[in-house]
Amino acid sequence: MAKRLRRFFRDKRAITPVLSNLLLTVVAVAAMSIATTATYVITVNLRENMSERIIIEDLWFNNSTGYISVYLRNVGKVAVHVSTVYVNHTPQVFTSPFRLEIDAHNWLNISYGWVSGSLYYVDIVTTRGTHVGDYFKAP
Amino acid sequence: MLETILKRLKQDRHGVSNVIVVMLSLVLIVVIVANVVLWSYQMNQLDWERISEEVKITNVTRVKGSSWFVAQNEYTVNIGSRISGTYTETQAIDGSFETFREELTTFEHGYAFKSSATLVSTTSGTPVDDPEAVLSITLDRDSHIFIIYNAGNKEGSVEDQGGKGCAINVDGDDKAFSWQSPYATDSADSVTVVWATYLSAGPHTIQGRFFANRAGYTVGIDTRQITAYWFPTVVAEYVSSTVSVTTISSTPVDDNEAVLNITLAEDSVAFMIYNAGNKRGSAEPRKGKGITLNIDDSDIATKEWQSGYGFQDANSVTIVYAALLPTGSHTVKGRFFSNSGQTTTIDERQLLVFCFPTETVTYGFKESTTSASTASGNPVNDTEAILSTTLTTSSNSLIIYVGGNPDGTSECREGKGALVNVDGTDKLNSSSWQSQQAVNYANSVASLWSEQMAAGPHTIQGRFFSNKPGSSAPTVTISHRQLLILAFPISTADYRLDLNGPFTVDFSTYSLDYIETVEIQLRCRANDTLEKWYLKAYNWTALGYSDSGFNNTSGHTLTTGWDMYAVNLTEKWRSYVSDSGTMYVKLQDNQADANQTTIDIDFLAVRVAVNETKFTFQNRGPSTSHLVSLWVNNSTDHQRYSINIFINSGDTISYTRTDVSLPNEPYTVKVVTERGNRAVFTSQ
Repeated sequence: MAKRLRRFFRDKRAITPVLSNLLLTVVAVAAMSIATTATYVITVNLRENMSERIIIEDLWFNNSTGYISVYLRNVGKVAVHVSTVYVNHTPQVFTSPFRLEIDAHNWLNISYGWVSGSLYYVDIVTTRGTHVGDYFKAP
Repeated sequence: MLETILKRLKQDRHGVSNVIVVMLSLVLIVVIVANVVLWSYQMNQLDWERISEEVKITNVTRVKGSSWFVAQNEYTVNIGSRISGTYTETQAIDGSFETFREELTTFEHGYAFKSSATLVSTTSGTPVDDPEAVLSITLDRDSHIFIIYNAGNKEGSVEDQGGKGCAINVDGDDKAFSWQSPYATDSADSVTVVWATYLSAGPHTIQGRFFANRAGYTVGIDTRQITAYWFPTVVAEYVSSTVSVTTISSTPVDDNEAVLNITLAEDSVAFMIYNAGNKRGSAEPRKGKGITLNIDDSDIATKEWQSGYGFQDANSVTIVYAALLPTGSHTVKGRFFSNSGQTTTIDERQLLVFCFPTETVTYGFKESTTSASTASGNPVNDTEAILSTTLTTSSNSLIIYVGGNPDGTSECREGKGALVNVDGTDKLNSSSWQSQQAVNYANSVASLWSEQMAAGPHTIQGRFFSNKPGSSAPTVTISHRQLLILAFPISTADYRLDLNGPFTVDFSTYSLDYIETVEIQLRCRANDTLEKWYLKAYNWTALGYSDSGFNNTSGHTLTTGWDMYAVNLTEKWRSYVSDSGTMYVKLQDNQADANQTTIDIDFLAVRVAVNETKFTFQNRGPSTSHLVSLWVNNSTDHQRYSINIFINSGDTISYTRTDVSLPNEPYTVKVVTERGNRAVFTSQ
């Protein structure tokens, strides 16, 4: 029995192929993980850009507050964050930060001295670059 | 050749790795592209659905009332009859109708009364017939019946000092007893005895009987009244007990043998009489006893008192009461007390309570604790005992007058007499006389009368007089008295109609918070245009039908053409509608009259009045739309309401909101779908 054990531990043949195969497997798995992660990272931004949808439910030239109040609803599949608001192509101050989760809706108040009877183009831009806007006439 | 190629391939390992790398790279690229393409496809599909979605707001209107809630069951006719048609014909204004007709009022009752001033006497110590006090009656139906026998002798008529007893005999059995003794031999002495029971239909003989408290000594009756009233359908409770009770208390204590519990399903006029006394030989002080009534743990305002010939002599006393008792349970107790603090006894008592639905009886009751005195030997008005009543139809009327004084009040030893005066006429046969143990001792007297009174106003007066006007101290006093009249209409030409039915308001559609009131609308016609008709509803708080709080309580006179009569329940509507939305509506005429009216009901229904807004949405798109926001805008306000409505493709739905109040025009209504589309409605 002792003799057999001695022979087993002294026999060095086949160790190198086993180690090399294990190493290759590890390298392959790591490479695939990196590739998968890279795939996710590469595509998630693209997907989010594609998934962003917001609408203006209502726009109110509010006499009592002086704001242009815009009621936004997120109808897309990703949360949105409003980065900039333009009125007649000029950036305006608004209630910031303004973030809407999926299916969320809320007022966004724009500080702007509107004039009754005037036409305004209100453009709301998200951090991903989505624009939602339209022409509105102040009552 | 092939063998050679395979051999080379097996030996050449370099190309395999390259192939694997290329394959894996392709897989990665495919995954990346597929991910992006599939997501893009989904978003495109979303956009396509959004583009193809088409929702319209076709109408926006203010709604002031709900649809009509109509009868779902046949009406209950309480008085009157249904001639033709069914309740379904009252569900729409369409000319088809249900017909009802007034019928004679169905409050059944009967009465018999006899009074006589023929002198009778006896020396018997056991009851003998008073031949002047016999009633032969025939009951059409099994009935509750009460009998009152009041008999006495005046001052100077034959009467033993031990006094007499009286009994009521029904069909040969003596049922109830009462005893009294006078001031002295041949002094005034009257006895009242009452009895109530449930008699079967058929003929019956009711007899007043009397006897001497000391057998072998003569007692007499100058005047007596005996009456019986029977009712097949009233709530009545009564007790007659021969269990002796005593007290030395000078304040009222319960006569535990005289306790009645009554449960009323509707507001009722309750008539009560309590008669209690002791026979000769029982413990009784010279100053006698007093009694009163207790209703729901409150003593009534008045008492009555009596004293007999002397220590352990017969002594009884009677008290009456009438009141309107509300629906529910009530307890009526007889209570008694000693006039001197010495032991007083009740050997036998009768307590009865008869309750009559308010619309079945006209009643008047007066009790007073203001003293009145007279030294006159002729009847004078007890100014505190007067009733004025108006009968809408001829009625069988029961009148009872009881007046008495407590110990220590001015009262000549020969006592006093009393009688009833109706419309200025003294009813001499209602006379009754009573004397007491000594001067200024307790002494009460009861007078009974019954007659058929014509429709119209009547005045009932209690009158009293001294039994010894020529004596040195002739004054007699009435300190407490009760005067009552119960008038039961005679149903010879009194037509009435009274019907009611349940209606159910759908609270699932109309939130309680936004209901302003409830309206009842009736469309009908009548062949008699002289009568007013009333709409009432069951008040769940007051537990009875009422029109209290209605905007119109004056009724409506129908014509022979189709009339529309509507009432609303103002802000009091909540009392008339149960939590489940059930309300009972009653239609009844003003009062009984001689014309038998027939009415045709084309429509009877209720609805809730709300200030709500009704929107009509139409989905013209190819797929189901989900509406999530509703906007109502005008120049000064933009109001958003969350909604959750799905509309199938091609469908049109109506949507009402009680919390949406449309502003003055112009206004804009806007609805937003979950996909982000909007539909706008602009008022004209």
